[in-house]
Amino acid sequence: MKTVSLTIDGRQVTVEEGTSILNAAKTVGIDIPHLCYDPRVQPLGTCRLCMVQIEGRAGLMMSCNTPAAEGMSVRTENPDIATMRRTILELILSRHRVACTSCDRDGTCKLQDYAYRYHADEARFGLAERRPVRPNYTTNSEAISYDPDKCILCGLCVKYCEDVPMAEALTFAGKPDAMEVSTAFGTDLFKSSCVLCGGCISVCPVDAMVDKKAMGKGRAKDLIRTRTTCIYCGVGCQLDLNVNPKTNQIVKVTTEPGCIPNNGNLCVKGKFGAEFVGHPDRLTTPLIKRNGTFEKASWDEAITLIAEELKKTKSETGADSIAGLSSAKCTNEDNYVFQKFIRAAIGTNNVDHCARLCHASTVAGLARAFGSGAMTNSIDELKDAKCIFVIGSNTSEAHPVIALSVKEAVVKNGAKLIVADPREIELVRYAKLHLQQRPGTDVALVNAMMNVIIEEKLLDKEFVEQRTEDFEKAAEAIREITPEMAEKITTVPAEAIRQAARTFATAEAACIVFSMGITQHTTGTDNVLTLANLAMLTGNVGKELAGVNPLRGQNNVQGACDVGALPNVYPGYQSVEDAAVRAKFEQAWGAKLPAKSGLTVVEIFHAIEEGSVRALYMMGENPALSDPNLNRTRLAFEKVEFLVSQDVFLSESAQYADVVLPAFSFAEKDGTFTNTERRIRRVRRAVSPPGEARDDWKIVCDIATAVGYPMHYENASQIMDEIAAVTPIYGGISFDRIEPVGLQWPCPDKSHPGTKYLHKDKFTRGKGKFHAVRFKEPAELPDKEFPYVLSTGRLLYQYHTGTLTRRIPAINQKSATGYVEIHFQDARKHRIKDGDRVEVSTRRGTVTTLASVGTAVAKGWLFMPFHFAEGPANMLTNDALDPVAKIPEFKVCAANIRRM
Amino acid sequence: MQENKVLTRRVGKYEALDVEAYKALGGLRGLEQALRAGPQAVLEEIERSGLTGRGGAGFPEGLKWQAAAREDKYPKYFICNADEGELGTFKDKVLLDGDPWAVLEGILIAAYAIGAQHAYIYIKGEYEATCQLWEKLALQAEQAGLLGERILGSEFSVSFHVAKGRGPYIAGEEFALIASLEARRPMSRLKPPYPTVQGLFGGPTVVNNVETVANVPVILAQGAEAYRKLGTRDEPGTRLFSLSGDVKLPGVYELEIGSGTLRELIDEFGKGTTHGRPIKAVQPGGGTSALLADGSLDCALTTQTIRKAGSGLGTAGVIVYEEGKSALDIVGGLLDFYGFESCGRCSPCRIGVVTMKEIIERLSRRKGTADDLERLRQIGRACVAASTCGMGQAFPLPVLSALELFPEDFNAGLRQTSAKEFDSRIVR
Repeated sequence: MKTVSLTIDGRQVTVEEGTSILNAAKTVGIDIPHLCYDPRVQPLGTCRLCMVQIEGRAGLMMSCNTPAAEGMSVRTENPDIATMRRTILELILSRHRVACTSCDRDGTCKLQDYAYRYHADEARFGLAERRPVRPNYTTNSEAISYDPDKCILCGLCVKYCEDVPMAEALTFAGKPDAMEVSTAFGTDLFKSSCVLCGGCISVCPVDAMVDKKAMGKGRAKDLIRTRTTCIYCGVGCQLDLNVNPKTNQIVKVTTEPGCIPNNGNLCVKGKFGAEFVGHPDRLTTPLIKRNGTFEKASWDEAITLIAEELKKTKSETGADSIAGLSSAKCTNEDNYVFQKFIRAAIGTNNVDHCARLCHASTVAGLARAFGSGAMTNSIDELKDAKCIFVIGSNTSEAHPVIALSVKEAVVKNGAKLIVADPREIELVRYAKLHLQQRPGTDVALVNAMMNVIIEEKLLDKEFVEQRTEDFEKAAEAIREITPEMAEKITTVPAEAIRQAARTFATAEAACIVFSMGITQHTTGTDNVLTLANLAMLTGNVGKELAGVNPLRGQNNVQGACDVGALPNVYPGYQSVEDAAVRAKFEQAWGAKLPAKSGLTVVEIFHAIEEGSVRALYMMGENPALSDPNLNRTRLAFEKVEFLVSQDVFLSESAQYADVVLPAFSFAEKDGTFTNTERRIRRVRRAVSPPGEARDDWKIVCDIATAVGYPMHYENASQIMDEIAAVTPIYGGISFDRIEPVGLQWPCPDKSHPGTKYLHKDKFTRGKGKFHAVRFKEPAELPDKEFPYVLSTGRLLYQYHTGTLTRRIPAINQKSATGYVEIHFQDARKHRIKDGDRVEVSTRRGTVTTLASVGTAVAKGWLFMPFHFAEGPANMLTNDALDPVAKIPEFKVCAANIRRM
Repeated sequence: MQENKVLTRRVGKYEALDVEAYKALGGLRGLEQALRAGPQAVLEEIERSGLTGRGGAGFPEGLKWQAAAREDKYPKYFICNADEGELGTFKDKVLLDGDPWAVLEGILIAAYAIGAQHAYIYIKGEYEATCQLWEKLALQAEQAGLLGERILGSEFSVSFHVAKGRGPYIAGEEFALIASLEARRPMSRLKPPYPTVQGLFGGPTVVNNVETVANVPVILAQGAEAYRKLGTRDEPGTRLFSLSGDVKLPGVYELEIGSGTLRELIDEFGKGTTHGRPIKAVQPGGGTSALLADGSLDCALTTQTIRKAGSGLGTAGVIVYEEGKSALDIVGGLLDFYGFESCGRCSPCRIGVVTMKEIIERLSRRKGTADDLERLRQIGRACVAASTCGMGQAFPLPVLSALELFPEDFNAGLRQTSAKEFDSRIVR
């Protein structure tokens, strides 16, 4: 890093070369006035306030766009500059409705601050006329409100929209005397290309672009901001809950540039998705089902009942007839306590959680190939990547903030993006190549790519020889499949496969990004192993800007796995079947522990069907909408003898429960989440909980105590200390060490700085292991009766089973209900028009939904989002399992469609 | 004082679409010479010629071309800016209609020199017939082997597109023009990066005015040395002067730089003022140039001398105002135009131009206050010092100069002025 030294207002400043004078001044606490600068976008220079005098140069320079240079001498204030700034501020004020007395931004408004600083007279050039309210593009929006009379037209919102989410929804309209920010042709915001990221709100220097729901709910200076971690996906964005202490209400969600990993960016769920916290439907007391209806109960009653039922079941049919579903939505502390409760207090390993449904195959596959099943590299590296291979990840919808980095890498830094996805997803617009493989044929596709790499000698020989083993075994399987053969299987042209292979193999560093398009298959583990092979073959593991990067779905799915909410491992992926490990935990927990691995999610439901599991305890899970083949799952729910649901809302699954326990939401609890890049971050309490709701881990401790295994912790921090003591990869983690930016595991001791990327110099398992993987067809293929391939997935606007997001009006306006995507030629065959009601059926069930006709999917394929209870895609999906990871095949089944 | 027709020598001498006629009149020699000499030699030749931009800013062409040629990023673009929007400026139209092949030849040489793969001409939409002519011309040129692959049998290939402006004045500013070509709202943007580094679609781009481009074949055909014999030592070449306003014979006149004075231009070519009244003021460089009073008109027609006189040569659009008009009317008219045409990007210009207009209107209704005059100066200075593009920096100049030159016109607009005094400022 080259630095330059200069003087600013007589003070010596040394900064990295290329730093603007504005930012250089900031480093020594000199605030050069600016209204249109934001570090996330290229300097705009529209406000013209940041002018400075540079010795030896004529005129004034804009400091936002002038790089600091060696030996420069800069003055940021002098009488001339002050007059100029005052004039400009007075001009701006003359077209700004000055309404500070009733403005939400009062006290946090930059225009107000600078007007004060430069004694600007708001009436110098005439007071802005109060014009009658005119409808604009936000009038009908539930999310955002724009006030053209307050807008100072700095253009930051327009630029942000163009540069960061690249949605290009906003533009300027009108001539200078009546200019406004608008959408193209003034279309309603929710009908435009806006993705509701709320970035426009976050960059607005005044009160022109605002959260509609926050208007009048408290002035910014009166709100208390609590930094916490988002609950909506594995990215782990840092956000600030803005709470009005008078009303105990989350008024709005904000964030700040510079925070890791989101740099002040959010997606629609992070920005608008906290509204559920104060929803009137929240559970506030324990409920006990009596004669088929829920009745309010006291905590004592509920806990006593649960403890008695569990003890009874255990004494009748043994501990293994009880199972617990932990939750990737809950904190590490909750999950640790829960699995400890199931293992030590109940005495079974029947504990699992929804990771089974998303990345079980990743954990299984990467553990075999590399030795640890997690994202190898960091989110922050993506924006500088040279080549990105996105396969089976609709990143822009499922991990929107990571997609920002991918797009930034392509658009700003010239990275080459290869997208392999059966659908024409948003990232395809930025891709050099789109490989549209038939669903379920990933192994054939990636093997053929490796075939080309080996044929054309593009492999990293040195890496393969020195760092890996079993290459020849894998090579044998790879040599069997040429691009031409793969074309027949995948429908991807052989030439495209060749190009993709060359692009990937010849890049200086190339990273693989994948998600559930890879994992949710009966060949899920195989898919992951093939990708691991590809990365090792090209030497793209154990270095920066490379790696195999599974994007974890839920906010804490990484953490829930890490702390042992899995049937086969204790915290830190230590096998329950390893006697030495078991002895260690028996000593730590003071209980005899079972030696046999427990049942996985889908197996638990199959066991309920068979009668071998009789009692089920669910913490924050909703399998009645999330699991495959719902009819079968729901039958199991009816059959299970005793069911506990501990949740924030009465979910579809909780309807079947015998006892329902009200728990804290993330905004009410302290704890930690571990995001997809293995970074452990704080969750902090911002509001007081509703009614009698309690913290998840406290409830579990009380029940453990009631069944005869006393568990007690003072606070979440104490639980983390216990996790650190028994979990080597978390050895150095504690609440005070993860302030303020978190730590990435492995972090074995208190002095360890955390690990940015894995497998440097040495794989976790020693040598990287190649696996010979051969293509296998999905469990169910289209036939005469069910001629279509149906795939399922997520939407940007919804989250998982919709329990949280579907309660938010701003989100429902954008995404009201489910649909099925169909190719227009197929649609024509069935005389289906866009928006028609259709019936989609498979061997397992039938649902009705709306048709979305277009080219998003290829001919012969269908796609449905799975969030919607009124047209639940999981009625249709196949519960066939991957033999290793036991993950169901959500992504492929045979289906038919007809117009209603 | 005499015209020296260098760029306009063929105007009206041949049928516009007839490339053979153009060749017969000495056309294409510049291009042939360029292709023989190679890009590097062309760059050097242009630098030696001392050619400067004729669009208003007068940037040295050699430097601009070399900056784009130096970039190692492809594709590169060359854009000929034919969005002639400046008030009182209509000289490019003469070349576009009268000797289009010379402009095209210049474009090809420029594209060749900087290594551009794509060339554009962006023509002012109001020049309806000119746009049509150029669309036909492009087809003709392709048939003649002057566009597309392997031009004139050389290794040089370039695609050529005719784009039609949709009216905004600001689209003549290079970044706004680029935005417009990219189908965005035409607005300027911060520099650096300059277009030569990051221009159209992010690629290195040179944007040149029509008249500038028309000089290129001349320089190549006769050599930089011969070219430098025209004009002055510091400012070689000729300029096309657009003469308009209160003159008897408005028109476009090609003069060697420095070959006469402003007054001679007005008197000899314009044949004096319309009503024979004395000259009140002249804008020598288009609507954004500062006013010069009668006493300053004896300066030579070079950039330097006119700058010394207190204005700028800009686009060489000479607008003459004779006695009988209040300065309020003059600047009011100008502000009407610029108030409508500001792209609205920078706050001082966007708000300043409209506010200045309001103040002038107030003064015209005799409702002004003494503070209004100070307000005008305050806004004017802020815009000049703090705007991004040429328009924002220059539109207040006529107002600021008028305040200096004709204070009595402004004072007449103050509230206490009697109707009689006010009317006496206007000679009927």
